[in-house]
Amino acid sequence: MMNSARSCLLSLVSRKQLTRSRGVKHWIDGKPRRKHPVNPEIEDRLPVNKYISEGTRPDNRVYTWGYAELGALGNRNLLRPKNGKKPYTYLHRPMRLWFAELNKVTDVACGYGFTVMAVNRPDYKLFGCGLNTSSQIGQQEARAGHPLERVTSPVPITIPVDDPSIKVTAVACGRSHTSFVTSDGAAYTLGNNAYGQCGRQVLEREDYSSNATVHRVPVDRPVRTVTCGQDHTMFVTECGRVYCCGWGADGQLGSGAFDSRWQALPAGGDLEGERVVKVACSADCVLAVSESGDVFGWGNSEYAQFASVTEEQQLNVPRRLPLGVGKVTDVASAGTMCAVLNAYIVFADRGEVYVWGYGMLGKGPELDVSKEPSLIPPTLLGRNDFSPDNTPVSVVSGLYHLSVTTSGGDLFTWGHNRHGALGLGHTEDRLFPLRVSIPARVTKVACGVDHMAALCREYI
Amino acid sequence: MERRSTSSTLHLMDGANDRRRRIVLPLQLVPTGYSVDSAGMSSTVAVAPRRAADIWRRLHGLVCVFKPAGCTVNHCMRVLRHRLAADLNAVEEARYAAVVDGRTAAAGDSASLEPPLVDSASLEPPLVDSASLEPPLAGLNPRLLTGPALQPVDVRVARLASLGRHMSGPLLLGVNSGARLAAALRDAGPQVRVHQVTARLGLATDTLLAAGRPTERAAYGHVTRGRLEAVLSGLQAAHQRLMFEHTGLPVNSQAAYELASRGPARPERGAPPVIYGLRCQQFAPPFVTIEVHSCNESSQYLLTLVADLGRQLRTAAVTVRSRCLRHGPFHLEHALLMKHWQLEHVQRNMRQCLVTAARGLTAPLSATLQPVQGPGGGPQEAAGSRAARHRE
Repeated sequence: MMNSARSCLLSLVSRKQLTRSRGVKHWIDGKPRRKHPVNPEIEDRLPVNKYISEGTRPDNRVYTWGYAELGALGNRNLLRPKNGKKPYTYLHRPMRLWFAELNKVTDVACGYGFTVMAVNRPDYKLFGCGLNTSSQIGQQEARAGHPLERVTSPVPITIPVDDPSIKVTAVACGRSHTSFVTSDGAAYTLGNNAYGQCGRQVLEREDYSSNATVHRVPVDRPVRTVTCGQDHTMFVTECGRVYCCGWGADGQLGSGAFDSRWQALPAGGDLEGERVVKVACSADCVLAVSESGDVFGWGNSEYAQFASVTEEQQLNVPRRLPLGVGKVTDVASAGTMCAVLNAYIVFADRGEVYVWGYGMLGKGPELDVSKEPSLIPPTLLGRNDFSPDNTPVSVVSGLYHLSVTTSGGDLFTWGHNRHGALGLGHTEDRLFPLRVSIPARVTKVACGVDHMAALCREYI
Repeated sequence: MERRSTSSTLHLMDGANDRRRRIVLPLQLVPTGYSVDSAGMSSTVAVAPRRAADIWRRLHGLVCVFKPAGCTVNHCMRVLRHRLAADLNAVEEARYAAVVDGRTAAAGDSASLEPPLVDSASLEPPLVDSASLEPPLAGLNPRLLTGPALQPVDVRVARLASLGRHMSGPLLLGVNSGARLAAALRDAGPQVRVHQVTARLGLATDTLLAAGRPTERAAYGHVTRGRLEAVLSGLQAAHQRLMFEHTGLPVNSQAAYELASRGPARPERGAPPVIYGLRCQQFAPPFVTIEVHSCNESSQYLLTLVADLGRQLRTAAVTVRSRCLRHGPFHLEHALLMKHWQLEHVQRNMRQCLVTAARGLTAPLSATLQPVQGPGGGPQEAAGSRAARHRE
């Protein structure tokens, strides 16, 4: 009897067992091999946990990563961590933003050290975080007369839109200015206006550090979307015309001159009569794609971005680029690199990304300059025999890197890895596309200089 | 023991990694007295009774057996050892009986009686010399005094691959000198394995298997096939990313770029587990069958994978059944069932494995991987599917 009592006690205590795994001995919690089958009633006595119901729909999420010190990632705990830990300089892997769990974020844009989000809320429609030295995320003052230069959590930006039914449909950020478009076709700008990039007259000695000005840009047609270069802004109207204002020394205004201007006027050249769908620009080289799939370019061409049409280093008039890649659906223009995505046709199996320019183009170390578009192998962008239906759907560029999102919800990045902006878990440059580990389906990506933000959707 | 040159050295070149790997395969395993026709079947041509010594001398090589679920690999090795020893002893018994019967029938003469025990180096000479015995013992079969010639411990069986206790599938074992193939097989590169895992949703146990003690129950009514496939594709893409880090090449090199642009890359030896393909084969809640293409995985890894899948689906999951469908070039068709673990079948299996290994392992292993169709449940295979199945 004593023996059986002792053996009962021994069986309660978890014994460690010495095992060997891949040639290495280690101790594991030994689960003694069961002598008798499990009582089936145990299962019936357990309660049934219900984590989600049949009617639950996948939620939206926002992930941010990159340079954290300016507060652009929107996570206060990175800069003022609890438990006495050191603040993060950068985050080299995606981290979920708590703000997006509580608010419906519909659009996101990354500028140079700040992030702006369009939110579907009746009271505040635009939120921003990060650098605020030029009021690019609005006037943010904790005390009157003491503007905040750095905002570590998303804060509302006061905009002159009173109607709660009007939503912010598109946001774009430049070096130190922001622009957004509302659902009624109006375009607004805020931030630095030193070169007229806000579409209003340049006032000498204007103080931008605590400036509450949110200017509605007078464009005579309803505006559909907006894109910001480094110091200029481009508005795309419903009818497909592109209105530009701001810094123009590289011809990025498309006006035929190299002057800066604050008035938003349409770009001419080969864009006459074309319906532009999207404009892409990170610095001063502008690419536009029309509804019919043609690509137009103007602005800086120092890195042979427009070598197909000109030998000049600047192009101040939009020209159609004979790329020879078929119908194009998306364009992206980094500081020295350009990328296009052609249309996916099921039987022709297109949906390919082409790159050209100078830098880490994404085709290994041997290709660092290309005047013609060069195809990135589809296997690098997630299409292989195991997932044959995974095709790229969008291309987005930062200043030094490029990214591609696919139909399967994957995000691939490559280029110069400033402060972990590629999101690959380290700070080394990558010369061909690699997948960013995000446990959700990526729907939209915004790239800044050294940080990124991704709008995602849960799997389940 | 006299020994002919029975092996030749074949060089493997892995073009992508530019490493030379050597694999030694015994090429001459066909014993005398047997002929192999085109179907690989053997037939005796000689009418003289077989000698266990000859068979034993040539019993070296790789055998692919089917390990049933619930058996440990050690148990299978033990069973194989016992069966081979018993069969070889039976062969010798039959030969002795034939010789004795022949002599008795011819009213034979004890002088022509051959020493009954085989002269292989691993077998002990007779402890008792029947010629020196007294008349009452002289007529006895010396084997009754010394016991069977071959003991199970004499048959060396080594494992060349691993399979978990709860898993079933082709298991590679090396018999006698076939154990030396372990190093060669390891050098040839990690083989892709295809598993068919059946999971049960809504239950979590302590051992991650359905037979364990239940620890949690969860609702699974919200799990649809579309949601499951979305989670599987996300998991597959996340794992495929790991393959670039495990190729053993510097990631920013031109060689790494060229390898990656060809397709999913084979990891190097000793790398952590990588999963290349996850496909839902059958969806009948609470049971779900998934096909897993993976490299360097272990049985515990697959159990954890199913448990994690349950968490991702906002429910719980345990493994009901785990079947390995193929291990590199070895399929279920090459695997010998336990009821066929007899000498003649094992010899034939060794010859078949030799051919399979020669085809699948001596050519440079492709640096990129392609999926293979599992048996049944997958999409209809087009003509040429046999070739597709043999692709690696």
